[in-house]
Amino acid sequence: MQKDLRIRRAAVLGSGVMGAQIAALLAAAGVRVHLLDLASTDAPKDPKDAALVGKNTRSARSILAVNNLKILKPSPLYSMQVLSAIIPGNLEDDMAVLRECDWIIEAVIEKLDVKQELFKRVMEYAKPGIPITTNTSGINLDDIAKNMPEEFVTNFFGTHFFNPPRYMKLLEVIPHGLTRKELISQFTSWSENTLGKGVVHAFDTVNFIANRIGVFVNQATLQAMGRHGLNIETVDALTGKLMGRPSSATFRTMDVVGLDTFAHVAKNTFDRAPKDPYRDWFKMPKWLDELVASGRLGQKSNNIGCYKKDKDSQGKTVILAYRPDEKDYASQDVDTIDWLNSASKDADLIKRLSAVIDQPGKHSEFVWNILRDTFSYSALLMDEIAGGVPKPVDDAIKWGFNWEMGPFELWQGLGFEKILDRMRSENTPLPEWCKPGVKFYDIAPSSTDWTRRGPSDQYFSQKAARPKIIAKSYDFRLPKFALDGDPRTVASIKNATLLDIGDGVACLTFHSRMNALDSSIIEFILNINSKVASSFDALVIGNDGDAFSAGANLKEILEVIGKKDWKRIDQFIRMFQGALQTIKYAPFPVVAATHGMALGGGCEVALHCAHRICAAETYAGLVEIGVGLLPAGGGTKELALRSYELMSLAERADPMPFLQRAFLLIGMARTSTSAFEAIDMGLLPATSTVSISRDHVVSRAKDQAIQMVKCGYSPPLPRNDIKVLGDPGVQTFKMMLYNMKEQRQISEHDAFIAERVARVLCGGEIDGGLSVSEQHFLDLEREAFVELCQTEKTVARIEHMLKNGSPLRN
Amino acid sequence: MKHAYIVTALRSPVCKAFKGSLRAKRPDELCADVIRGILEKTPTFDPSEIDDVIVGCAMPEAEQGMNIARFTVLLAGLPESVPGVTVNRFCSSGLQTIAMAADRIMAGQADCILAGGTESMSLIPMMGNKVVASRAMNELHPSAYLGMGMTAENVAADYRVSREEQDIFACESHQKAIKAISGGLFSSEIIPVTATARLLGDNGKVEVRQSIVDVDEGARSDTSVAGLAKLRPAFLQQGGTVTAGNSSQMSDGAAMSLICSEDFIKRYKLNPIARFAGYSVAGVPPRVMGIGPVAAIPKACKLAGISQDKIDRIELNEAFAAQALAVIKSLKLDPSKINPTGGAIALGHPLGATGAKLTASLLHGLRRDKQKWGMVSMCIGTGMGAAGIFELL
Repeated sequence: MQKDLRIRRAAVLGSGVMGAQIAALLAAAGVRVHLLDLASTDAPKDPKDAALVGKNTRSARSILAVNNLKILKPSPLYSMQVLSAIIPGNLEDDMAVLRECDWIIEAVIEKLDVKQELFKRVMEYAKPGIPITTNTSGINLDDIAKNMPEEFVTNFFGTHFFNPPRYMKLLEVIPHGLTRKELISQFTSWSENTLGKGVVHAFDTVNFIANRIGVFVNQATLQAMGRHGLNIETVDALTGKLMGRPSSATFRTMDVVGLDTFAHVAKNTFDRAPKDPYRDWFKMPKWLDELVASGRLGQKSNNIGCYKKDKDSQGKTVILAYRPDEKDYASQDVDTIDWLNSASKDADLIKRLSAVIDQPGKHSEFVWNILRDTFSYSALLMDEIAGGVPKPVDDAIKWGFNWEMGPFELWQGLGFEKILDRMRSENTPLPEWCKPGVKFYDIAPSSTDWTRRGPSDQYFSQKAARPKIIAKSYDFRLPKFALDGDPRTVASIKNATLLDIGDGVACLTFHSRMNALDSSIIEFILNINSKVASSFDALVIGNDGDAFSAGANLKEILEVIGKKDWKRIDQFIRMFQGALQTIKYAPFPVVAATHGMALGGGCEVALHCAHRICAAETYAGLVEIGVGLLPAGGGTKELALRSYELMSLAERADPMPFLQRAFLLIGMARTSTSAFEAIDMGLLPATSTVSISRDHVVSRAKDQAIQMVKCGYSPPLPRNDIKVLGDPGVQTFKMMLYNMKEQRQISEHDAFIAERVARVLCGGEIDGGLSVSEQHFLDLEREAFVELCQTEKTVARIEHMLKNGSPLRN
Repeated sequence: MKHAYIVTALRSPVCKAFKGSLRAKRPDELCADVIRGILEKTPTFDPSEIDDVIVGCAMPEAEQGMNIARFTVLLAGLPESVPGVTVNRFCSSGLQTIAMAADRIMAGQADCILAGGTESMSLIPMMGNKVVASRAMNELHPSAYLGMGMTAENVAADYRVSREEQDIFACESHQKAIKAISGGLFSSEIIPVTATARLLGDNGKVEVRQSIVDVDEGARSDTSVAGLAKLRPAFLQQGGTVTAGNSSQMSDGAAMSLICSEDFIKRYKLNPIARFAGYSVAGVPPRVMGIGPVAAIPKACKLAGISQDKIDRIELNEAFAAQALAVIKSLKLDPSKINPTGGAIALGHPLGATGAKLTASLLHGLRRDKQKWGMVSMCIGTGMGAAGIFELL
């Protein structure tokens, strides 16, 4: 059996933006990190910096780098607490700490002699056999390994993180000729399991896989843009969501990343890959070179780059687009493209693109050109950069550039032969193996099987000329819609499915839009309860959509409000509360597997489970106030109960500070920026488990559920002896609301809703210290919800949210 | 009626709450230090002759609870026979106690009383540790629960006090205070106190560090109107004018006065500084509590039997520049007489101690500048004002 790698302490050498952010990621994953940089001789000049550094002048660089993590946007920190696991130091006085480290990663300046010199010193301290890696993107690993001791050479490889490393899933792992294979495979498992990264094994070639292909696509876009005479904003309208790419498309992405960075990577390919089949395309067009030369690099140069953020005559912010011919910025003017709107609406990328490339006209021609050149380049390079296998290329592009599908997935999805014919007819350069009959994957992307199982565990190998088995990256793929033919299905409705995921565990998965909860799902939860109880040991609630659940289906609620059917609203909430109480008091453990948005009703579902496995990127919040409501599925109640529970631990303790925290969470609609933060802010229970890996949450929730069963799970006992704060508490909250209103922090309606939240938290306007039952809180929640539905302002808030996707403050 | 005389009026230095040198000093110990200082400066009488010790405190709970006056008496080393009582009228507590002491003496019910106030805002939060609002108050007088900063915004709006006026006033407060500190003007009124820090030493053991604190810590020499203008409104984010820079500082401090009858002074050959000439309090609408002095000052003048313009020196507590300016405007007070050595915006406002602290500064200032009539006045949370008048001997 392969020994697992245990990385408990690591050193990051170099505290630049990448080094420091990598340290923050490792710290969140439970690794103690030494962040070392060059020793400083003088104290920082800025007095604030000097105060931070204190006596430890020599480690000033890394101390300031750690501090800088607090202000970087988007935040590299899952929680402020991870900072305590990063230990700043310097490369002269603290080298001895390397003796304790299980991984040493270098992220210093891109200079071969500096890196080699540093690695020689590292080898004086490093434990034998540990991975020693470089985050380089511009230097050959073989060059670094040259003339180095054998102990270094065999344990040395590349680990190329993408910026920002917390958010970018891709980690390119690059062995060189002499790296121990076992070490690579151990490191890969660790990175996937613990760090939650999508690992792609790349070859030691120029710019590795993602940047090589990704930057090429950019260059191909620039070529096609020139060919068809399109402006910047039209290019972005066509190369964003429509093509399954981030909405920042081509030029907005370049502005965010920095035009100089793009130019640098392109130049790197041009200089270091003389045999590149499209080498000339890696020369930047003159106008882009001019923008770079004049310091207009995008976001980092005052938002002046391909676009320019400006103010119009009325002082309103406007985004102007660059006009290369006029060498100036002008108002945006996207070409009128009659098929663009209808094409963009199809949720299926393959169907969308199939429709687009068959359209006549230069805009569809433009899209086709980019696809064609991307397929051509990817195929021509697959051998060199990915050892002749398509999957690493697809994964690298998906995880490094946030594409929905990689080039080979797209090609096969659009029909390999059909595309091949068209490419041939246009004399597109292709490798010899590109002949009819080639399958990149054994199942077609966009097929039912693909949806069920994901990119298959078999892939085409051009070198082996036959399918090859690779390890599964994760155990579960959950259906994103009601799926016929999935043998795991136990019960299914349009928006939810109950699956048998093996080992006595059932999985309840939502697949409505944004996984919003509607009455059909709630009814489904109530209906499956006895089925799970009789046939399974445990239940997991999770899904493979973009969000765990964005909350209740507002459209449905608004319809009932429109009919003024208050009884129906009351029934709906009764049912919702009943379903979540069923989850809470089920005779089997229910474990939530959360990721992405877990808002409103979605958060309430998670709160009622016996345990939660939360992907680190879980954005939780009880945000109902934004739509003029309060959490009434038991969410307000759960926060209240937790406050009273804490109070019951001590004599004469005051629940007010705890209730106040709950009050602010709900009243300010606070949303966590990570699962760690959701726990820190007192929203999710501290017993929740955080998984940095998004891919593993469902399988870990299953493991957790099995473990709970094995340990003799018993449901909580219902409580009817909760001593509440009562009316004195309500009055104190009212006093706070009065002040917030006077300070114009909240509106009249905010205060109206918040007062009802206060009533629930305090157990109603009764004498303090009286005992009530859990049901009493639920009744208060429900009454308030129904009351709020009858107010005009709440209706306006719901309508606004449905129309604009943002809360209305009225 | 008899006369009451202030024999000694001293105070501790006033330091910033939470980060100043007195942040960990208990308010009872701080007040006891001041009492010991008064006894040292007034050595000729027998402390067992003290009839009562009246201590003002705005948040008398936790470290300031349990009748802090009695604890202060015991900690100061006064005989067990000396009693103590705690009095609360929020920001005027320290002046209220002096007035109550004077009243007892003027009525012939006592001959020697120590009175003043103490407050640690570091240890006890504004409004105390546990706030419980009343249903009836919420219904009848919700504005009594309005935060102080918002009452200052209301005053600024009602009395048309601009942001710029407030910032200029605040800046002058700092400049006057810095000048007074660097000129050593406060040295006669300050009792140096010992601050003890119990830190975790490098060896993991308790490390006791003691330091002598003898200077007010709030004033800044680098304050400028331009710098103050950059601050964001602290209470009313949109359209507000009251900032952290033109509001009083939260502080720790204590101040006490020895108040005696004529008989007592003669018996012990004491040398009094001033005569207590009158004190009054008056209520105003809670939503504009800052204008309290406008109601209190005319009343006090009438009691003292002098006209307002006869007063040579005024210590007007700068709870907020907005309310101080509104009071000055409304009563047409002469700005040159007000807070000549700076006010609470620069020097701090240790709530229950402030009245006694300002009395000490006033009396030492009157003596230094050879002036005759002086007044201490302040606004009081929930809508009151207080004013006390003294005549230098």
